[in-house]
Amino acid sequence: MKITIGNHFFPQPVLGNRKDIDSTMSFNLNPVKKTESTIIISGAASITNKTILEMLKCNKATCLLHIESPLTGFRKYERIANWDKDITDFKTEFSLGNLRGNIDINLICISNINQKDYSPEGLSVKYENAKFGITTGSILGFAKQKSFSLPDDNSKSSGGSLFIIKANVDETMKINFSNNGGQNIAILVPKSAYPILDSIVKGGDKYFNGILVNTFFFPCLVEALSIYNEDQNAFPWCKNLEESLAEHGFSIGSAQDLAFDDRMEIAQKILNNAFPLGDLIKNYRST
Amino acid sequence: MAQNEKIYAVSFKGIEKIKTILEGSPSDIKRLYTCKTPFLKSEDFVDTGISCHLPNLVFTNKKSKAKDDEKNTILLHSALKSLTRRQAASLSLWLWFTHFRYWDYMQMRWHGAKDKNGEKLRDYIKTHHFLFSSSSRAYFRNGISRLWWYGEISYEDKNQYLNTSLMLEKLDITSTLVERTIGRVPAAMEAVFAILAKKKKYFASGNNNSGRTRFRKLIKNLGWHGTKELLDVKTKDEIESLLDACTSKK
Repeated sequence: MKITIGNHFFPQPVLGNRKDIDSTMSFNLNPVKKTESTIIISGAASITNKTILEMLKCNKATCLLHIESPLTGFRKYERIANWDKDITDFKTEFSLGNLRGNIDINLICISNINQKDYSPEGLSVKYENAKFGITTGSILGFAKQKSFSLPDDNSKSSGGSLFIIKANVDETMKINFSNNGGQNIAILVPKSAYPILDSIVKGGDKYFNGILVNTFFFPCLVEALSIYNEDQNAFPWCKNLEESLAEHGFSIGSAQDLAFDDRMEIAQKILNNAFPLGDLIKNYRST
Repeated sequence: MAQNEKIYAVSFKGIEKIKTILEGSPSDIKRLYTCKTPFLKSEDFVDTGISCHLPNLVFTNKKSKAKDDEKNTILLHSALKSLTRRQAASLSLWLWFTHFRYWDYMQMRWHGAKDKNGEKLRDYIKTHHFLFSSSSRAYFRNGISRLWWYGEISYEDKNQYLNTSLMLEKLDITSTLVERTIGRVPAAMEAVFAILAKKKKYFASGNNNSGRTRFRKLIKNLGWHGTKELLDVKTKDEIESLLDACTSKK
């Protein structure tokens, strides 16, 4: 399959840009892991272009994992080595202190050498077998960017995720409020729908994430607020919910009997404005 | 010795309160934002767990805002140097500063609310007291967060705040450096600062804003290099040589 993204004007043909080269550069991300102070990004990168692969093997090119947090201006490039095959695993860990909001991830391949006759395999016929001059740092290829979002908190840990999405054993949807000994709430989605949801979330589609929140998390949070309202110690996740509520100025307990409309309103406000949505999404792929 | 004070953030309810005001009538916005006392109260804040000695921000003269901004940038950023970028990209934190802690400073430095009405007033308050969007650019327009972020991107361990004055000298330089991708490439920023320091006369405003035109051309050239080569893998010296070549061309 040809990559059809990219619309940049480079002086040299670039894999992944405007169908310049008939081969692919892509990557898959594993679920992003977060500790109290760091984030771990891992996955597998793949390049099918023989010329670029050969350059990578001979250290004439470098493949870099590009991580960027547009909101904080942080960007980092991590070298991906071991290109004996056309697919290789990568793993990187760095401080959370530089990241907030959407985090963009991509692969980029650059030249380590100056070369006057660069002509990669699978070059589009529009170039008519032309040779190109490249220099150290010249961009040779890039993949399709992926994104994920991080929770928006006030320098305070949310104390773990409230929700986890799992594939159900059948085609029904269920909510398990005592998942993992009550540490979190599991939303069990229909078995056949899970892989489709999973692939869309991996792409970090913000529109889909909005739908995901309204379809799955919203009704679940309304119900969770009802349970919490009746008994603040019903499940261990109640503590997590309480912290999030307190952090954003809500103090609800059994003394205050919340009507359905009140719970709807609080749930909507939390999901829209304050609740660590990134935490919800990052745990989406838990199985 | 100066006492540390607790840093707060505006709670979710407090943010809702501000949003409701900003969506309301311009006359209410004007009344509340030109009042001598802040309209948010202690119940609208949550403790961030951070404490430090906060400086008094200066406002000496309406005509020398750039100089005051430079001083305030250094004062605020050095006081809050332990803040991570993640914390500094938090709306609720900066709202506490603009709507409470530095309310008096905001009244003096961002006094435009007095002369504006209608939608212009609403936009002015949203831009300088609140955040006009959730993008990084908005943090460079908020009256207080901009000071911290100017300090953050111009600070370097060796020369500390030497580049801050270069960056804030002209609005054009500031916006070019903070709102473009090169602001995210530390080596490129250092190289630009080095060139600005080295060729002050060349970039000084002359006839027909020639200094500004030259600076824009320089950044355009750097951007052009960035389209074919990855600037992030280059050293400060390599980028400086590229820029040197640009400024030496006739």
